[in-house]
Amino acid sequence: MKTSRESKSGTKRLKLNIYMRRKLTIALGVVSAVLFALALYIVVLMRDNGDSYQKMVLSQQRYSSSVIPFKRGNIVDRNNTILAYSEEVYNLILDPSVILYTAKASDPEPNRGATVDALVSCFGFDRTDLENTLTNNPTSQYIRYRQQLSANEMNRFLMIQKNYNEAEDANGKALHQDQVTGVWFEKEYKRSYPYKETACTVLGFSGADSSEGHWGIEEYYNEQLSGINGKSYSYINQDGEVERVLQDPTNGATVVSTIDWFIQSVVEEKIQAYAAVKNYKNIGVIVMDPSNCEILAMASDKRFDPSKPADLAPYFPEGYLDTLSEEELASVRNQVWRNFTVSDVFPPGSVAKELTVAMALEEAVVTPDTLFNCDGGEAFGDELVIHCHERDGHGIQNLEQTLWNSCNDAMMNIASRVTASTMIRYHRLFGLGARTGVDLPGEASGIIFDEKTMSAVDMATSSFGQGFSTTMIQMAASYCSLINGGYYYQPRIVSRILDDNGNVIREYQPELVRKTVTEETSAFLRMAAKHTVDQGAGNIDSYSIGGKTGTANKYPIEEDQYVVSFMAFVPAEKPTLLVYAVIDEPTIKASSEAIALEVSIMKELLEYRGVLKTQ
Amino acid sequence: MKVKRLNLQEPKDKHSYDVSLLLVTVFLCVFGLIMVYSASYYTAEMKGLGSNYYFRRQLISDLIGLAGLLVLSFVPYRLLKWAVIPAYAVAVVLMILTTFTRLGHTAGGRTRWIDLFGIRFQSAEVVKIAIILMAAFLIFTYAREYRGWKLWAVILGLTMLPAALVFTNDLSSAVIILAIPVVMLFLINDNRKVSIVLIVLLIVLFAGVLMLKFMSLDRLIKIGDWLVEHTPLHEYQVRRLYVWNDPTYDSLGDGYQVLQGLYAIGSGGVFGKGLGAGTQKLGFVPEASNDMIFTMICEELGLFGALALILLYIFMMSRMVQIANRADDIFGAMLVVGIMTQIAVQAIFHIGVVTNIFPNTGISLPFISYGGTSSSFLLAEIGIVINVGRGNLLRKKK
Repeated sequence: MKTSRESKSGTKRLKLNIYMRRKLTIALGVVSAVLFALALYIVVLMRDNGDSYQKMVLSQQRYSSSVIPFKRGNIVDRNNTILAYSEEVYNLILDPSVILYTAKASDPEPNRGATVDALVSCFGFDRTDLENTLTNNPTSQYIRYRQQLSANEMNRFLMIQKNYNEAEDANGKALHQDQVTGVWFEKEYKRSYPYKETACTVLGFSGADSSEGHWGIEEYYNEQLSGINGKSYSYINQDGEVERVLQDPTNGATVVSTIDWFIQSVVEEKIQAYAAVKNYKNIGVIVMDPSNCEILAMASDKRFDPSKPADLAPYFPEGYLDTLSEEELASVRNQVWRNFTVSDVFPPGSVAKELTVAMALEEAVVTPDTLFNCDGGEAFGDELVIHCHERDGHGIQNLEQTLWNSCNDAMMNIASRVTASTMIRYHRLFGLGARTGVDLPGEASGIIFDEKTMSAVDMATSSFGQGFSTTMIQMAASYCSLINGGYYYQPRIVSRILDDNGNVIREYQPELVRKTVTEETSAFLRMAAKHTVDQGAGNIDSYSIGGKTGTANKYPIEEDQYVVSFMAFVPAEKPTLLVYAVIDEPTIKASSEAIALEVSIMKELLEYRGVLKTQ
Repeated sequence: MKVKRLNLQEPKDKHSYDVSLLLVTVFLCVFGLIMVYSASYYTAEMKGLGSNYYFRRQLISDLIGLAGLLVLSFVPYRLLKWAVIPAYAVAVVLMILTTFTRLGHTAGGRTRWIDLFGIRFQSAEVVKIAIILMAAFLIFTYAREYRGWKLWAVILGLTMLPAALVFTNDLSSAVIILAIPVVMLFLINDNRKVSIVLIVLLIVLFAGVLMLKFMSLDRLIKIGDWLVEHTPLHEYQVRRLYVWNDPTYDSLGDGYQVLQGLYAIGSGGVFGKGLGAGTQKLGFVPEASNDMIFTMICEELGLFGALALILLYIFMMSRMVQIANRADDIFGAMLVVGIMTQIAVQAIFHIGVVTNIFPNTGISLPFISYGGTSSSFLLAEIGIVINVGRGNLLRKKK
């Protein structure tokens, strides 16, 4: 003990000697070494597993962070009638770990009673089931107890909760010691279509995943209708506060359609009225504003409820769908969902005669005064004679009269005055053989002849609308240009995109694609069409209507099936409304079928569109 | 030898108020508070307690502890001799009450707390300080008369009584309580045989641990099955060894906490994700603010933060070694050694557990982890250390 010292008082004090100090220093060294070894181990851990652990951490985040769904945009008609919207619904989430939380042993699960009472009284839940759910999952933090509650139901509960938790007695002290707690609501959206089947073909549908649209506007404008999901997570912001929301969802934009709900519902009503009593394969109707090619209504006979697109039972004979195989059912669904007016092609028939006449006038191979002699048909070589529908011949007619009579012989005569390339050039000019670019999915382009292969016979049949095929939207759009002074606009079904607050993000102005005919030709065709209707078919008393019928033989010719159609517009002098009705494979193979359907629709719309009477 | 001169010479300024020790302690506490807030605000918010609930509680405990530190740093440590017997008695009584009566409070399946006079605290913390006092006093009083085995037997025997009670619910605390007098005795021991036996035992233990740790899981499971069949060990206890060997063994069950902690450590990188920016505390790492807080430090402050903390501990302990070296008597020196041992063992165990070097047992990180009893008592103990550093105040007055 040479380092220890004697105290002055004489008592010998035991202090740490040199060996002890050495041991103590060694002990400190050992402890330090161990701590550094642990640090080294952490370095190794980070080096060997850092990347994979990082990924694990990130993947866990994604897995558990809750998604705040965006709200899919509305689809509204031109008068802001809501055709499709997303409704907020709420899932009720129980957090038993909070509800059953015990802070003091003397007072176990203090908030359980009040919370269960509130839930039972607000939603009428079965108390036993609720208690069991809590008891069986004491540490769970997420139990989706009820789904798709309305905002009202949720607010009622939040009110009850607030009133209970914040109740005060006369002295301003809390009335209740316990709290209603551990109940959350999770927002979800449900797509709703308030008018059910109305405009289903135009709208298409959006399923459970609101970022997906199928068919119609829902598909074509899916990008605009879809928003961006938000994410909910807790983090500390720059002020050191806990922030619950990491990212707000961006809601989808509202799509304003050119569709007019009233016109659309009239069209569908009349189609259904026709469909109820007649046999046919397809019916399609397009209503347009000829001045700018905006689609006011577009419908086929096929209907479904876009909120339950797969449930087609109401629209077929009872039990019929059950007899189908899965594949057949899929094909039936596809038939119902597809848009006949843009996706199906057929020979346009006599409606195309106006195109032929327009071409002839533009090329100056005829004048309105040119006379045609119809002898009931035209011979091509020794074998083939193509007959006019009037076998005995229409006799001598001027140009306008050939349209009144829908004379095939005269059209063939006109066709013989131009070359194949001219005819094809005009078909292209009228937008045939190519997609119109209408803002709807699934558009077909139709088939027109090729310059090299088009024979004289092909030209002859083409002149009266046989031999090539078109879609309804192609015919409607080109016809609009013939009667509006020659302005071919791209047909449109959506006019504007609005943001969440109703501000216009994008406006689709009528897009003039090209000039088809001169104003003179257009005026001649309007008058010819008006005089055609004046003679009887498609006439509505005291209105100035123009129109052209079509009866086309479908291919293969031997099956003897027809597509009948009627294209009509009003007022004939300055058209503001065009209705194109097509009936595919009607039982009565005459254009009168299409005229009847068209007239029934147009009658209802004249006043609504403010069309003036002539007298 | 240079080292000798640097470390073993009696310092010139023998007795003073060790301000640097006080400062490093306060610094650790403030750092701890920040980490507790960062690691707990989410859980607190989710439980509806308000995001700073745990922070506030820890702040109060730290303030109480600091008050204790200041008081004890001015109370002559020699007076603590009078507290030896009462402290020991209180510790034993508390452990009995905790273990056998309804005063004991159970959380997480462990009865580690006691509710007394409206206060809840961890009784094992009282045992730790009682054992330090008892061992220091006995060594001071009898070290000269009873050399070798006798002193070992008496002190370890007295330690075993409360330690056994602690052991029933808190294995890790029992190990720490046992380690404290062993280190103290080892230090004053001048019997070479005892030292050799002790060192050999330590090496064997260490080798055994390493062997189990790095054995293939299949073999360990075979051994485990045998143990369950032929010893009173239960399946769930053995499973803990499997998890220790391979934390992915039961990644959603027993291994969840360890594995999530490893993810946190591994994803931190050199400088971490930034204070508060960690994501593993968001419901993934259980006990993020106490038993697993080191993982949060690694995740948010990275290797840099972890090393800085380790250096702080080493600095703190080197101060304590200096104080012990120049202590006026062996009672003071032993008090300091005991307290230092407690801090060192807890820090090593805590870091060892979260890095899965040791099997998973809940141990708090001194001065950092959330836990009122632990931090208040540790702070008060630092007060004793500082007082020892000031020399024998009673004698000076004479």
